[in-house]
Amino acid sequence: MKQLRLIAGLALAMFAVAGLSGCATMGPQVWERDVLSKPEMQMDGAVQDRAIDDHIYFSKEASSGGRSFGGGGCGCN
Amino acid sequence: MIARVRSTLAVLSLALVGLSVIGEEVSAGEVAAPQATDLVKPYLPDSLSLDGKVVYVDFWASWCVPCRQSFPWIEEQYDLYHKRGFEVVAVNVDTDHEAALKFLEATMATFPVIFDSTGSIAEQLGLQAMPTSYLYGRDGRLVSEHLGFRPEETDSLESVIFQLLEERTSE
Repeated sequence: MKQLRLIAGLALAMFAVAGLSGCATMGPQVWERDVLSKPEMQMDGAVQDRAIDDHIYFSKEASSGGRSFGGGGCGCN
Repeated sequence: MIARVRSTLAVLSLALVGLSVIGEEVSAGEVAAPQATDLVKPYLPDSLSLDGKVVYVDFWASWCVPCRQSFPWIEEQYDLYHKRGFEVVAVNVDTDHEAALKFLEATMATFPVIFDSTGSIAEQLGLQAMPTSYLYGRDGRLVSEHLGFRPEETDSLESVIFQLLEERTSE
């Protein structure tokens, strides 16, 4: 029984390790980021809203920054 | 019972090992890495030869901001050195052909542009960034590979291009 449990554990570990290989390639390649780089795909797409929100945080809560990372999504930084 | 489980596990582990081999694209005894100049050649018109020239292969897309920054500099180099044997091949990887044409219209590039909308050339070279450029000497050897575009690096790159143009093929 103990041996059976050991084997089952091993099998589970093996599957877990095999599953890791699924993370080997993630997301589109650098030359496939055209859609991702569009303004509407940004986490904070509405510039006006963002500016107003930022002003509220800055003036009422004395905080600024902390937004999503800027950039065109071209993978060059 | 345990023996059966054990044999099943053995088969399973072998299958998993087999799967990892399928994932591996590089096999032993494979030839040298593909060169950008070789890959773009089939796309170029017959009248355009890269032999004996200093070649700058640049991968770009209309949505890539540094690519937009790089075009005026590339154009400047092309204007300055083309007559002395400097050739530029700009490889566009846009899936939206219209966007690429609009970009070209805006930048008024005069150097040769080819279109790799499926990304097959980019994939064979395994691009890591946009833009990526490759600089080749007159003898066809890869001199440097640049990821991204930084205006502060253009001076040193230009001096390399200049030096390469001075080199004569001594065969």
